[in-house]
Amino acid sequence: MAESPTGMERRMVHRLLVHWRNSQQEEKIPSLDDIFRQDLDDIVPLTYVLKVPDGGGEPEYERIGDSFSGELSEDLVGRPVSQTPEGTLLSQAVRYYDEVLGRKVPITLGGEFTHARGDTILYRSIILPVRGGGGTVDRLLGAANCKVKE
Amino acid sequence: MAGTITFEVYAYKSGNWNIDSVYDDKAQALHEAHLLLESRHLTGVKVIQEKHDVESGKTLSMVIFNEVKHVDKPRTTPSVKMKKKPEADRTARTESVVKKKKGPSDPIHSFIKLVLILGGICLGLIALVAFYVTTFG
Repeated sequence: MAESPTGMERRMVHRLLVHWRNSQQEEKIPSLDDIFRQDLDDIVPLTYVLKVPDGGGEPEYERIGDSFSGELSEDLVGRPVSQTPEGTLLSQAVRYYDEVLGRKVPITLGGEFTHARGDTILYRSIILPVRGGGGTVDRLLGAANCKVKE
Repeated sequence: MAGTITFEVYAYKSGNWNIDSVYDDKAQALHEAHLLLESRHLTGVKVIQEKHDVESGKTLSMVIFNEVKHVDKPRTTPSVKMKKKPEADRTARTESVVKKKKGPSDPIHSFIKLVLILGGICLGLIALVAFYVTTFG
């Protein structure tokens, strides 16, 4: 029987990071296809993808997981990150994307914030750099989960 | 101090330390560092705590984890050797000080020897004079 994972191993951000590492070839930044080829399973609804325009500039949402749709009043796919509504999990999860773009390494952050609905939310998030066809980082894969603070 | 604390994981490979990932959670950073060290062909892994003070704009860095797997140690080894060098110098200086302490005692010994020799000669002369006085009146 397989050993049950510890608290850290169960964390979604850790599991997604492990998938990202397993997708690396010769320890280079993996492509989005490489990552999604892995069995991400229950993580997929918690993810979003940002597409970085050619030549830099503000990324826009390419894909947003179902778990975020409940807190968004409109579909943000195709819209820049600056249009993310404040006081949402997505706004907290995406706020450090420029640091990931600059350093080209996975970054994970968490904390608590007051949601637009008034709840105090504890969350954990991760943003991973993703390689495009030309070998440059042209996408970011993000994920976040949360719970209401008791 | 108002500020943020992050934990940067660095991996040593092919003669260079490269940043691998960044965390805001110490336990997770250390956990990932251990996993990296076990599962990858890396020579070393270190975790650096970065404490950024928003008010002063200063960042304090501190190594909280530093593991090396193989004999081919990263650049930290030479610097450790260099740190030992001043200690060796200090020992050498101490020895020279000890030698210098011996120096001042030598003239005293010579002086005592000289006094004893001169005293002996004087006693000999006195004895000779006394002999002549008693013999020849």
